[in-house]
Amino acid sequence: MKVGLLLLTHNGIGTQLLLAAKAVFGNIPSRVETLPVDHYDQPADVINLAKQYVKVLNEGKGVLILTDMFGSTPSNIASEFSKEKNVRVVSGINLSMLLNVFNYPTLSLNALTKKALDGGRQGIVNIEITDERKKFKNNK
Amino acid sequence: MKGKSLKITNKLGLHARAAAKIVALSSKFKSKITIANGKKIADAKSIMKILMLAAPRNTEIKIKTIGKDEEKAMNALEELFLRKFDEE
Repeated sequence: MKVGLLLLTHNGIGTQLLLAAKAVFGNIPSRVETLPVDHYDQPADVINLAKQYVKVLNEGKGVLILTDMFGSTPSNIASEFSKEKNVRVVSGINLSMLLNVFNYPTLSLNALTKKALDGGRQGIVNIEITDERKKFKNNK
Repeated sequence: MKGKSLKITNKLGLHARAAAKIVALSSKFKSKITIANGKKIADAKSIMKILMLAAPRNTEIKIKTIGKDEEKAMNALEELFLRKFDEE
């Protein structure tokens, strides 16, 4: 039994990230669905759809919803589910967040939520001042 | 504990797909496995930690395995590196 994943994002962001993750891992070890939100979608309709997804994805260990920009409609819809006991919601989805989640398919919902947060943050790097260039610059 | 230095020889270096292969292989073993690029040390069972090593081609990395199956783990990883992650 594994935590189910729902990628609730603007348009195809979730689908494209999932495709990229599949290219990295080969096959995805977790159960995952994508729910794209278009600007013409009615939030009430999306919420209903999301409810059905969450129900289907929950095999008993809960569901982790990953959404993109905090405060936007997909994120606001996702936040409706944060009240539920067996659902966690994390915003700011990026490829490193997704890869880190797929890295640990057997974790509990709470532990996986932490992995999503850690992975997402780790992937954000000011490349110019980190990396080997720093050494190079300092040696100049 | 087993330790070994290896050179990364595939064109793309330790990129995402290679890192995923390292994770998949390392996770089969119970030993604690680390990969080091200079002072940066990564858990070989974490894809993000491996990517953070930012190791391109020709980087000398150090692998350490600690645990009951440390020898098997080391041999398997060395083979994966020598096979250039089955990319070339």
